[in-house]
Amino acid sequence: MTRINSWIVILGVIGSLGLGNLSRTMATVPLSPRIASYTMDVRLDVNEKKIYGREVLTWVNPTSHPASDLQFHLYYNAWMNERSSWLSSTRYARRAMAALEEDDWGYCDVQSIKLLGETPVDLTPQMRFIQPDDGNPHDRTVLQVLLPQPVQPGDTIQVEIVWVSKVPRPFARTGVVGNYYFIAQWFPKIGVFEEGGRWNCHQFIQTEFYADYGVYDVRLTVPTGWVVGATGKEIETVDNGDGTTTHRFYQEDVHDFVWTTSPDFLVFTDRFEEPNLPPVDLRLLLQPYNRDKKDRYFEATKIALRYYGGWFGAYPYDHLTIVDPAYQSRSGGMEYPTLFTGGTRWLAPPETRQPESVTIHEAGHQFWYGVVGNNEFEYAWIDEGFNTYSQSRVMSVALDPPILHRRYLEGLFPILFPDIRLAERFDGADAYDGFRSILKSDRMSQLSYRYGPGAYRINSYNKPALMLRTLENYLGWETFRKILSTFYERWKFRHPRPQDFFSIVNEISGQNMDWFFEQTYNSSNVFDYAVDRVIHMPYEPTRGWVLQDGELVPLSEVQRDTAAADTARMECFRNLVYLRRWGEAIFPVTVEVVFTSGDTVVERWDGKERWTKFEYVRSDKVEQVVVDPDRVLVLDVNRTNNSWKRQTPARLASWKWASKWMIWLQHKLEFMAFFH
Amino acid sequence: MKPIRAYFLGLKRIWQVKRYIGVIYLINLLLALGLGSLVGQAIYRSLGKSLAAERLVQGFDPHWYGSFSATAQGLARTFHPAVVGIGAVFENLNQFLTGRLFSEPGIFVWLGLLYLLVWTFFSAGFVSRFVRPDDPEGFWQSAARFMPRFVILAIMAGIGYYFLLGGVLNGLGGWIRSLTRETTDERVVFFLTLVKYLAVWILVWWLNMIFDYSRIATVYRDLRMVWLAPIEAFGLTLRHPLKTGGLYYLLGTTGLLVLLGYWMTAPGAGQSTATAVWMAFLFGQLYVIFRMGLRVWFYSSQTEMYLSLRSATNRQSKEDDL
Ligand SMILES: [Zn+2]
Repeated sequence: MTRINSWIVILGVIGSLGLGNLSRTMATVPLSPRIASYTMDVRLDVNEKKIYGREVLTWVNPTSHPASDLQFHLYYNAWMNERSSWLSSTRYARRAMAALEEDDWGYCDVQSIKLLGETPVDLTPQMRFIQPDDGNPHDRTVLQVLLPQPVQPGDTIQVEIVWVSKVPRPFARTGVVGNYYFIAQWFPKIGVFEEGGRWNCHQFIQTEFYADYGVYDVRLTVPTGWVVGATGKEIETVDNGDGTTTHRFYQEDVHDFVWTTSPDFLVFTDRFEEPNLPPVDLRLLLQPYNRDKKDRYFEATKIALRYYGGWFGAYPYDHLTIVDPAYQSRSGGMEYPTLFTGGTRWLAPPETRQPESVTIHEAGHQFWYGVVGNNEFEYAWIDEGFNTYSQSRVMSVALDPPILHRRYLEGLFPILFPDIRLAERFDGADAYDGFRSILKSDRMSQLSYRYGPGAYRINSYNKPALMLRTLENYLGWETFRKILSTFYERWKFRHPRPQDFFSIVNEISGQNMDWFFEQTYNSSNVFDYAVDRVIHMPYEPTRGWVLQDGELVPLSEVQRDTAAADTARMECFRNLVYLRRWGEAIFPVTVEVVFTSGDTVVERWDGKERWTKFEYVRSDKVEQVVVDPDRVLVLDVNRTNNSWKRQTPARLASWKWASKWMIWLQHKLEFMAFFH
Repeated sequence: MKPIRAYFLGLKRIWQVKRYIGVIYLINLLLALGLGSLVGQAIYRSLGKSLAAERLVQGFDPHWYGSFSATAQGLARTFHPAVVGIGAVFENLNQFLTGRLFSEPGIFVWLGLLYLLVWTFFSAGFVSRFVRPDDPEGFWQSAARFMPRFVILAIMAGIGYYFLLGGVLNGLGGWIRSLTRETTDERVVFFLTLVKYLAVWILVWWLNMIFDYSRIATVYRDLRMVWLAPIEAFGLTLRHPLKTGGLYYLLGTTGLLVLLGYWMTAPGAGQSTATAVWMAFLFGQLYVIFRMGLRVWFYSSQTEMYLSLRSATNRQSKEDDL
């Protein structure tokens, strides 16, 4: 059957079901395996700040093992009380918790669960909470339900769950402030049943998420007049006549469903159109005070769709919703399928890149996270790292270079420093220099939910971004782009693991790059190549005795014959260039040696030993040495020691910047003197 | 006397004490030079023979700053590129306005307290000169004579400042936070926060003005019981709010206008020759000197105002006697 024919068939079926609107949003062939699909009916009570929900989950056992139980995430229970693993985790600031009031907690209370079929079975008595990660008996974020009989491989079951969720004051980017609701991770959500017959259903302890793809058909009932934004497209709106309106959102081939509602949103639409890429309808829900950011939000989103689409592969859906988060809602900067939150400030000139930076990042997650759906509990770096890398790359080509800005008076006023250029995030690892480098806090291959203090951020965002940038520089952009687009193509709507990416790198590049991943991914070693010293000395004739024709003769006599040559040599210099490897990690580097005559020699060093030496006997001196002049190894934690120059303006540079610091200090003293 | 007249009379008087402003400027400069040389050495050491030096001369090098700040010790840790240009003022102004100026690394607090003492001493000298310009007693003798009383005044003022910038500011902050707990519009919080600072700082400036007049009164009346001075000054500001407040406002606005001018002209990070670096430094010094002059200007003008208000009162009471 051709594509057109199948459309006609499906349209016919839909038409006969009376679902006219649905037809526009339904795909001909499923893009994803559709393992977990939800039909939900949900009512938001804004007085109680509660969600009353009923969902029917259709679940397929995708493995070759029978499933004797089901496991669900109840994320909202992470904020049920201070005993939960999320709140008792040391990573959460206790100061923030002190400000919590009675009404600020959240929970997800499952009231009943039923196995549907010819004779429905009540599974409610079979529910129990489990704690697979930390054994904390008070944690209620994973619900296990034993089944009367196992679900066989390939079989489909339907489960009906009735639950009530209390919407908290925002935690982990979900909750309510005023009449702004941002509702994420809010419904009983099935875990991922993996090959091997095990549930991958982690407790919610400060990580992100993991779920199977499916179809979401959700009816959201909210006060009439309130604007609703959600995953998917709104296909039906019914005024219930009782002060509430039901909005029906439908989306295929996604792994999560999020929604937001508020009476205050301004709604704008736009359309992304680009040759060779499918068009995307954009819907922007904006805070009234950020009206002036409208075009900037749209433009940044289009930049992401354009570049990511061109480099990796097209965005597969025909719509995307952008939400400008309400002030102090702490819901900004987060990605969900076909919807993301940006973030800006009321006063935020374009140079601050607010909202551009976060918008490009979160729109980018539609690709890395939305389409390529890695397990964020365990390999958060796959989406965050890929996306940080991609975001930096997009910003470096599509935006003006970043400059310093500081916000004063509790962040109210931004002040720009136009001549202080900053680096893009993937430009260098210099900020991680030092004996106690944060890069050494954990190996990247540690499962994300097990990272030690401080290690999650560096290993999920910056280090992988630097690792990918180094790979790009090493293999060349065209090869690397092909690697990424292949990864995107092969793993869209699936759950890749790190090895899947590494294999594609080796395959596409035609090189075995395991040595690289061994050091960057499996180890916490750092890279640091440096010019140690450069020495030059006049070339002098050698003295002593040599054996010539069986006789010992003084060297001076031998050399007399070649006196002319020696005179020439005596005007020469012996230049010695010593390089060091201060880091534990190894990477081949090029070395550029420039001589006083202007000649340039490029050397290659495999970088394996702790040091190496290059020697040049020439009539001129070494003027300048740069290790890794093309900045391939952006993982190098100290770029400053990569270069050496005979004469540098170090005195002037240090005086220049110290003099500015002095003026700063002088003003500090003057301000202090006010109080005399 | 109209505030504007006191303002210009005060301006003339500054020139009579320019030498002493020069001395206090030198002290400020030497303190900064001493510590600045430590920071300079740290920067110099971090550069070695690196090409980063060239980048730092051309502008700024974020990579150098990354490794420098990651490994910096002691004072060098306080180096930040935002010290450039107007940042040198704004970074501190921000701490000043939010009441966190003395919650800095220890050395700055001790240095600041020392500098406060220096200013207290010089203030005693300045006010003596302005109150009694023809007094044969020299600047230094007067400064030394009134210094102990000025220290007591400074402690009294300090308690007031601490109360306003510690207690009241934080209290208002907490109140605004609870008031706006459910506010989703940033502008509401923005304006409330502005109002908070305005309210607290009007009180701080008033307190500052009261203690300026306290110093003047202490010298003028050679008060032994120093704690009486603020009471007199407080009464003075209440009886003549437009004159005292107007003068303070004129002087403050002058400071603000010059600050705006400096903002527009303050050299950034672009000086790539020694001459340019020096010119930028000297330009920065001009503004530092202006600020010191302005502080003295407050004293000279307020002394004029005080003397005129005093003589008016004296005349009044003499007339009453008749
Ligand atoms: Zn992200």
